[in-house]
Amino acid sequence: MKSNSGRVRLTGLAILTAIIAAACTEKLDNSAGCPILCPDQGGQIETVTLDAVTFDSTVSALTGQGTELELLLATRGDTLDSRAIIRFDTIPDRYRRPGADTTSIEVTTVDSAFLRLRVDTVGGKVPATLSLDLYDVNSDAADTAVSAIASLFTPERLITSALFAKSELKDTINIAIPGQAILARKGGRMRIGIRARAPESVQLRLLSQEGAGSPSILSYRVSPDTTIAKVVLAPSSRTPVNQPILANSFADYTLLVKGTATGPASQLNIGGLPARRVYMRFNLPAFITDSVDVVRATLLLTQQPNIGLDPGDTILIIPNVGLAANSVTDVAKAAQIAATVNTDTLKVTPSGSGLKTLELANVIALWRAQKITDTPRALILVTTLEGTSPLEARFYPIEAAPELRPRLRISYSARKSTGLP
Amino acid sequence: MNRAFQIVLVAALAPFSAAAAQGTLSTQGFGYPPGQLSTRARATGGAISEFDADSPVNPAAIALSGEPRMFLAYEPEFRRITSGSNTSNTTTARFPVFSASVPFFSHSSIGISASTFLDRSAATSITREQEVAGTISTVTETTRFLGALNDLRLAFGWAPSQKFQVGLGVHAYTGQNRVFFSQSFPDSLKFASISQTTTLGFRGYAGSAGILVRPSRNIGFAISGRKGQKIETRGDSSAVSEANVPDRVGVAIAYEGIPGSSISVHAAKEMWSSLNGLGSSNATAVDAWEGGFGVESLGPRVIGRQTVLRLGSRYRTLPFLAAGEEVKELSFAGGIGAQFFRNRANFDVTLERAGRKVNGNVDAKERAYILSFGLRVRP
Repeated sequence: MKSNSGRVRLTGLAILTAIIAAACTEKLDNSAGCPILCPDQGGQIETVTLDAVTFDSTVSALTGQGTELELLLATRGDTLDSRAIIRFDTIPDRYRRPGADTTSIEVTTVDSAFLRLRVDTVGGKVPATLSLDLYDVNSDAADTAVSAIASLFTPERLITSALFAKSELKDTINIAIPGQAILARKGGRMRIGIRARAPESVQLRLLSQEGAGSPSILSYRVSPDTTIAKVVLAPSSRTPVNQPILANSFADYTLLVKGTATGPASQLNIGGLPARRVYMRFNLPAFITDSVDVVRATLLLTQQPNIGLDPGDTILIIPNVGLAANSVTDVAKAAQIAATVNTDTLKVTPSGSGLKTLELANVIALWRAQKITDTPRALILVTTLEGTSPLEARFYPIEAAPELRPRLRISYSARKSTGLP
Repeated sequence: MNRAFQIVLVAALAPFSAAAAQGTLSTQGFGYPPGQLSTRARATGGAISEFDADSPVNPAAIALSGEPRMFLAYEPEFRRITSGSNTSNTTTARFPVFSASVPFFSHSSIGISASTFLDRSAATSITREQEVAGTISTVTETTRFLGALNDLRLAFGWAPSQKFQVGLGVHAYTGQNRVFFSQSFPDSLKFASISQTTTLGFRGYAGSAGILVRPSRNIGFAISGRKGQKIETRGDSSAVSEANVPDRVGVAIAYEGIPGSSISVHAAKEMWSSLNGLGSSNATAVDAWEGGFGVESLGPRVIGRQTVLRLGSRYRTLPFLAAGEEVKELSFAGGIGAQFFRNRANFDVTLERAGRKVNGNVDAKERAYILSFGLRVRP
């Protein structure tokens, strides 16, 4: 009888505990009563369009030579000529046999030499067949001396020419190189200039050291004995001396022999070669950043058509947020000090015209956190293929008529809850 | 007027929004009044609240507490709101009453209590279409209210005889309402979400008094009243609004002529309209009547314990209008109580079913089950 009583107590206690535990978890959502019982929920969203851009300018992208993620090969008649340079500054002149023998042997023969390249034809102009001409551009001229190096692309310096069908240009290609060309540079440096050639316009890109891990490789055998490993060389540069970062960039780089025509200085030009970007400084009313919640912010740009190169191709423009402090007075330099932000991408064609919009709501959120007395509110408009695409979009600047100049359209909620019902 | 000035003016004149989005019949305005009832009083439809030392209603009720006592109640409410074909189920957990009293010299006691005066706990989430700069987008608005207005009472009760008790109380009204509001859009590249948090504090005062009279062993009468003073809401260290704590008057009769049983009725009027002005014009409070009837009787012995069974019913109107209409609440309750630990602890359980509805064309109704667990100890 006593044990039955205990069981009843335990059962009762367990049920009670279960009820209390279940009731401890609050679930408050009662949306079924809306909107009848919750009429004043969100408040209105107001929209204003402001002439908030106080300064704009087209500036050079100033991307350091050799820092590009891809190397542009383009032969577009008299409108664009872009080539690639790949340097191998240490060509070994001796080799060792495998095993304990440490005796080195002079390289006297080179066989099975190949230059491996990785190609990117997306957005390119690739005809049915094209040739890649490889030149020996070894010179004492500085890498920045474009004319001097371009002049080395002569028939006498031609190493080899490789013909490719369009279908063969998939990811990785190998170009056979005469062993004599390497032997001629053993113990020294070998600099290979690459130029694309076709009966018509040709344009494609090669992946660079900065864009991919060792995309270009020079390999060859120094002996018919297959137990002796192949020589495999990645691009490298020893100059400028004592400037390792710069030297590393010059392991491969684009040699822009002839760039695209830029738009007039009275316009905002984004893209092209050499690459240009647009710097814009903004002045927002204090209530936008201090008092209201911005729901949407849109930069209104009016495009002017550019009927130059590839007017119908698509160019993607993204806004970067300027981080340069007020102490940076050089606009060109200020335009380089920027951070990317997860926001909208403006997709246009160079030949496009009319009103274009770029969403900036996330930028406004960043600007709220910026102390304007230290850092001006600035945007830098850049193309996603800056420095590797000739496409250029042009827009009206702030000097244009009111309906054409850049403006900022802001939608905000002025709702400020006091907490009162 | 230049453009910049126009913009600043627009921003300055932008109205502050009231947070009237609780979405239920019972939590309109500053919220739902649980009634300041102990578990025992809730089971009797509130009818014994005027006589009950654990319910902070009538300060005279503590006068005959011969020894120290403490009481704590826990009350989850399971609510269902129905509007048209839409239904929502909610669970709200409350600790609505804590009270304690100690004897003070002979024939008197002092007591303190903390009770929920108005509970605003609620949340809504709605999705609608919103035009933003020429684009129609879906926006999801979520509003969440947490917190309550609480009544802290210091009471003194004196019983010069077994037939007469009198009591006085001073009340402080404190607590917070925290409001969380957010608007979010599915396209996070185009739109930025809004998130606002507001905290509203309360500060108010009132005094109360009550009398219990037992002309015979079989019958008792009680009357109590509360006189409200100023109450204000406070934002960031400044007052936002002010009004008066509602006055209240209540009367009750208890008949104990049947051995082992007690039958009680009570009626009260609470001048909730005094709160008008404390909230926005969306929160309209109206004076409310309340009436209750209850029976308490000795029940069977269970596991060797003497039980007490209770039944009751209560009808009242709630303080805040819903969609412009008065909310009526009719509830039925039943409960059981028993003593433990050599009768030094009482444990009571009550189940109350409340139905709430409004007149007019408002298509909304509410039904709630309130479980109340009360523990009273005499250390």
